[in-house]
Amino acid sequence: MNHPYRPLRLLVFWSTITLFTLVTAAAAIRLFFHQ
Amino acid sequence: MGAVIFAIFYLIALGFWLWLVGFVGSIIAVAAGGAFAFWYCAIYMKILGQVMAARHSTLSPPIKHQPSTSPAKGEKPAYRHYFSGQAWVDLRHVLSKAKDECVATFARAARRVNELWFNPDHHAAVWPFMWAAGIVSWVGLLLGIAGGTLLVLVAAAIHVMVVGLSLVMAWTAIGLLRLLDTALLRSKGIRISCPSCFKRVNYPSYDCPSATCTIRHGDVRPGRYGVLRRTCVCGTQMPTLILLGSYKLEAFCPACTKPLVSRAGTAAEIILPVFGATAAGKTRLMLAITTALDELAAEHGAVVSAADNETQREYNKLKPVLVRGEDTPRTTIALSRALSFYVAPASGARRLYRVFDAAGERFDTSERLQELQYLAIARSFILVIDLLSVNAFWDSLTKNEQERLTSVRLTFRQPEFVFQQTLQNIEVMGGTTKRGRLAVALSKADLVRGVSVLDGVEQNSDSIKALLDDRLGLGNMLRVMQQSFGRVKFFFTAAVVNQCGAVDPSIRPLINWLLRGENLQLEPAATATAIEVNS
Repeated sequence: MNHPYRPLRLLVFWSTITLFTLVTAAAAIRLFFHQ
Repeated sequence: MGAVIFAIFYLIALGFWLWLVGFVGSIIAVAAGGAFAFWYCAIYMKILGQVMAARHSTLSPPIKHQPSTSPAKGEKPAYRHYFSGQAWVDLRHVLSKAKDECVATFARAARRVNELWFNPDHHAAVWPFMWAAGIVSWVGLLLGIAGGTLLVLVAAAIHVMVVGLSLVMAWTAIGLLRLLDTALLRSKGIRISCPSCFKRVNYPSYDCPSATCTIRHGDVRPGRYGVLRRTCVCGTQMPTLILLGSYKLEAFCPACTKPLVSRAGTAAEIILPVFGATAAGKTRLMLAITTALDELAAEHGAVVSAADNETQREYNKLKPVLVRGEDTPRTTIALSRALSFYVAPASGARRLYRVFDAAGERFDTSERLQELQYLAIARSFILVIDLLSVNAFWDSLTKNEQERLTSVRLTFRQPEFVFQQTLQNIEVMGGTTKRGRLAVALSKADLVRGVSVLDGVEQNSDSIKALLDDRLGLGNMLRVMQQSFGRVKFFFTAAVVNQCGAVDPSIRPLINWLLRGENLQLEPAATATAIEVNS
């Protein structure tokens, strides 16, 4: 029986969001300290 | 002699073999060990793929929190979201399966090595050759296991990190989404209330969108049952927030389970309670206001539409009564549903205009009055006064006027009583009127027009107020009104339609004043003011 979780899709989705957030946060921090 | 020569050759051959095994064999063993390590890694990746990508019961671990159609207390008939437990179950499952398969692979390889190099069936003379090769094979095997285990641990660590970060991100998203939704609703002044039980609704309940499922989901907001979407026990997905589109689903009141309006939570509400004595003309006025609102909207490019089927049905039933000039049916004492309309002005935000009518008998006792919960959350109110019910007014009429009007004098309940009773109960229910607006509508203006006591009374608020204060002795009630409400205005209203089917113009100033108080303007400000001043 199939069940509704799609872990690979979920992990890729949330990892991408995490990565994007971390990169944005790092860029923001870098910009803040360079000013 | 032969034996000595054999022994010499044997030792030379053994020495060469040991050199070969030690030098070349070691290289082969290290390479084989490396390959073995990657084989381990491939096993891990294969199982990871099976569990993560191909979701099937034979390959996947069991669901940690299997939902039920009749859930236990605190549980809901929906799947918990992946990062609320299942992600760790999957991770443990992958590790455990990979470990089992790696151990089995190692056992197979070890058996092959032992069968090949440590087989006692061989002649004893070849044992040293075999053992040497066997020992080198074992070294390669152990190197492979060590390297493979290391690679698998690195892969597992990456998996753990990805799951951990995703979990943190998902729960952060849950908090942020809830915050954003609340902030958006607050900033737009959107609050949801039930048109049937009149209670404030924290968040609507929704029916599962599947045609074959009858499950109703309470509080679908992001949480352990879903971040962006909730998965019903039947497998159907639904959005978790109004912001994400849950307003498209059929919404219900979590308190009384009755249906809310369609697209609940997408427009700020204008709650308009109409109160007054029995037969004061509340229902008729409510109907006239709604019809006039429709006319006003059509003239100024706005759109008024019924927000639910009950409203459409009720309006279709009552409007012909108003048009034909017949008496509206008496409102039953039972709690009746509000009439709800969406008003979309030509520019600006759409609003949910909601008018509440209750039988006059409800205002006789506090117990019944307190069931009208909407009084506690409304900011605008309409008090309907039938002048014919005011003893001072009736006594001021001439004999002829009394004879003419006696058949339409249907109520004897004095307006002070209804007003005081309602105000008192609003305060008891926790409502506040200090910043509210009270429109006092003197109904049946078409019937009392031209009577002697109204000589010199103009169609404006101050003049009507003076009439009530000076000639009808309602000064005390007026003073309480002024003290209790932020703004009070008086109107003569005739809830009738003319021969062309248009609602009497006396209704418009009332609507304009009430809607302006709710920051909704259908008519250009200049026009609205002009009408109001002239009236």
